[in-house]
Amino acid sequence: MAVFARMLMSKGLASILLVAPLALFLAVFYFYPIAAFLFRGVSTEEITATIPATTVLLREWDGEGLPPDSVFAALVSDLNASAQSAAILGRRLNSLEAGMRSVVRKATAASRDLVAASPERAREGLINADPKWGEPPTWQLIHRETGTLTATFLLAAIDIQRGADGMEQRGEDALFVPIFLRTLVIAVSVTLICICLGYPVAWVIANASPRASGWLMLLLLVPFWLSILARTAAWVIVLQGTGPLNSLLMWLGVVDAPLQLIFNRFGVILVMVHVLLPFLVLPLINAIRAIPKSYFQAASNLGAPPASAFIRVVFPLTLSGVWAGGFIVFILSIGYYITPALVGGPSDQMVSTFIAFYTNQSVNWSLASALSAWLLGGMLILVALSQRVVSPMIKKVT
Amino acid sequence: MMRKTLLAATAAAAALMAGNGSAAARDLTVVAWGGVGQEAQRAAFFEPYSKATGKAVLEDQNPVLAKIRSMVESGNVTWDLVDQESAEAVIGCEEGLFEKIDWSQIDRSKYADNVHSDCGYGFYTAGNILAYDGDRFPDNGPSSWADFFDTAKFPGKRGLWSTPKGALEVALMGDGVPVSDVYKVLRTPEGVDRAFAKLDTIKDEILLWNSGAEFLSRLAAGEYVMTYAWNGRIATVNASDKRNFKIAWQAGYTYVTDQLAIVKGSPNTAQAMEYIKFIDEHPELQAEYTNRTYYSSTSKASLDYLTPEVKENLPLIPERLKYGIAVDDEFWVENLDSLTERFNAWAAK
Repeated sequence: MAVFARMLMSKGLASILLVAPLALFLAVFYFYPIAAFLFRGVSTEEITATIPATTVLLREWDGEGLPPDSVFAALVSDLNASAQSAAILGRRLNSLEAGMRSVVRKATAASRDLVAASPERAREGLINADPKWGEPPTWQLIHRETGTLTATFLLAAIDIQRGADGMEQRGEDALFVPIFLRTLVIAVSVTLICICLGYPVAWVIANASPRASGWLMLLLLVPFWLSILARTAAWVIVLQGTGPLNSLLMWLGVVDAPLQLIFNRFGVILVMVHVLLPFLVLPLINAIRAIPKSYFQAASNLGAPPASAFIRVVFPLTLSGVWAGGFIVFILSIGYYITPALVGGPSDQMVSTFIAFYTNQSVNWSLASALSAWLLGGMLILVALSQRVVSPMIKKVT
Repeated sequence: MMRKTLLAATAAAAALMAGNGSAAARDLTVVAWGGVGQEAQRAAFFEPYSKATGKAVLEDQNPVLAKIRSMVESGNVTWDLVDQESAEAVIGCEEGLFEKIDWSQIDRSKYADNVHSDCGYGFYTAGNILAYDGDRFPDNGPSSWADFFDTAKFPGKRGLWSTPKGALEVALMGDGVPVSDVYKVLRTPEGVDRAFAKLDTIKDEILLWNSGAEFLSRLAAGEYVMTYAWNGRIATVNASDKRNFKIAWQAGYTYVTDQLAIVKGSPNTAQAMEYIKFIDEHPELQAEYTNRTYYSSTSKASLDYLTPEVKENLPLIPERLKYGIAVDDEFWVENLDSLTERFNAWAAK
């Protein structure tokens, strides 16, 4: 921010005008939709829009016992106003508490006969339709979810259940926290493996003759140009039980029965490493090429054996490249979901799989957005940390 | 320069708006689930309808409820008729995503029982069955859902669809619940726990699938020793790819009817109804669809046009029905959300 401000001061209006179109474009087509989507994670609008009159009255209610009869009457008129809204209300409440769909459906059916009824009759009628309407927790749920903002989904995304008796961390049946951790573990493993495999490759390409390095680059990049789906499908064929790799191993007598190489964690990490390796190698090649050859010779002339010249002089100079490439690989792998979906088992799915599930299949956008918020938040913290902690460290070393 | 760009942009915007405007007069768009089923619908319904009426039919794929919801809410409805499983047709109907069908125009007594709903015209019924590769087990193949859970007798990965709908029913059958009692048991909390506990016994050997193509390729590659599958995909791939996949009907199966629903706000509602009427009036076309897909047709008259070979491989033939049970829409409309969450949590562990 400070940099931006200084730039504006020094370069004046012209530079503002030059960046304005891009800034505007990003604001309208990038930041606004993301912000709007993330806002769904805390918004109560999906519920309040279905019962506007009830919402107004509930916001004045203190949440103790049962709400006044006028709230029952308001709910009756809201449910009557639109069958579609009533159904959406049922779906939304059902995702918060199982069984609410039928509770709302019964109330909707009963409310048709209660339109002109007095508030007392409205209350009796709804409780008659389903005794749940006579229980405070039902109303407290609706009360909580019709406030201005709700934390329910942000909490649900880290396995904290909000119930009648406060918050409760899900233990045995925790879902998302283990998945966030799994996502982190997979991303870190993929990054480390990419570094171990990619460093020698980058070293060879950077130090090869221009002609050879051209060919090597081509080999590195050809898979990069293929569709990710084609590459993943190819791996399925290679690694499956009857695939060439298993056939070879069995023919050689290394194993008796086919190894399970795919639809498990091994398959996911292997394919992700394959897909992401170029992202690490390319920045690393640049970093290695930027080191003058004379440094290595200087170290040797001063008596350092090749290994120690490499470790003490050359390697530290490539750290920024390792860091840049590793960071890209890490960020990309955090968001992966096609690869785990195609070559992973049920217990290898990452956070993005669930974001896609809640967006496309179960249409619980609030939860999808809450999960995205945690993912994005975690990522921003990592970016900030890398800026603050790691970059100066690398600068110091180099 | 600036002006030229601006002009071009205006022209582009105008063209875009004109495009939107003419969308109101677009052709009838019917949306199915791709693969063999969609090809069969094209041959059995789209093309004959176009020929008879002179009106073109556009196609699209994967009419998931989520997408229909966003279309209806945004008012930008580009689909007219969508192929929905009955539970989804009921949910969408309640939420006002589908038009109510004018049942005065159709004689429901000409159809099997319980195939239609307020917003859905049921046009085929699929069986969710236990399938295995007959080349791998020429005899003594799996014959019950108990075998599905018996990893000592049949070592290897098993396929299940990545949804609780179907998986829980199968788990109960595997645990010894008679097929006719499956939903009675599932409606109790203990029944749900029992189903999950049964699934848990072979958790490491279960590999979920997300599409018909997926279970077919894994079964063909020997990755699956057996799988929960849709009967039509199994039967058709035997013919098209010279496979010898077998269906263990006697293990027990569930069946579900797919219905055509008219999307709310479609500019072609009248023509959509005309299309449904067209299918209604042509039982021989329904039979054509069934002959191509091995999914049961719903109209009684269509049975006369089926080939004997197809007939004995359908989910809804009388001598088979004692092994089957209709997917309980009411149960799943109510419980799909909560059980899906639990199923995901179970699978992800």
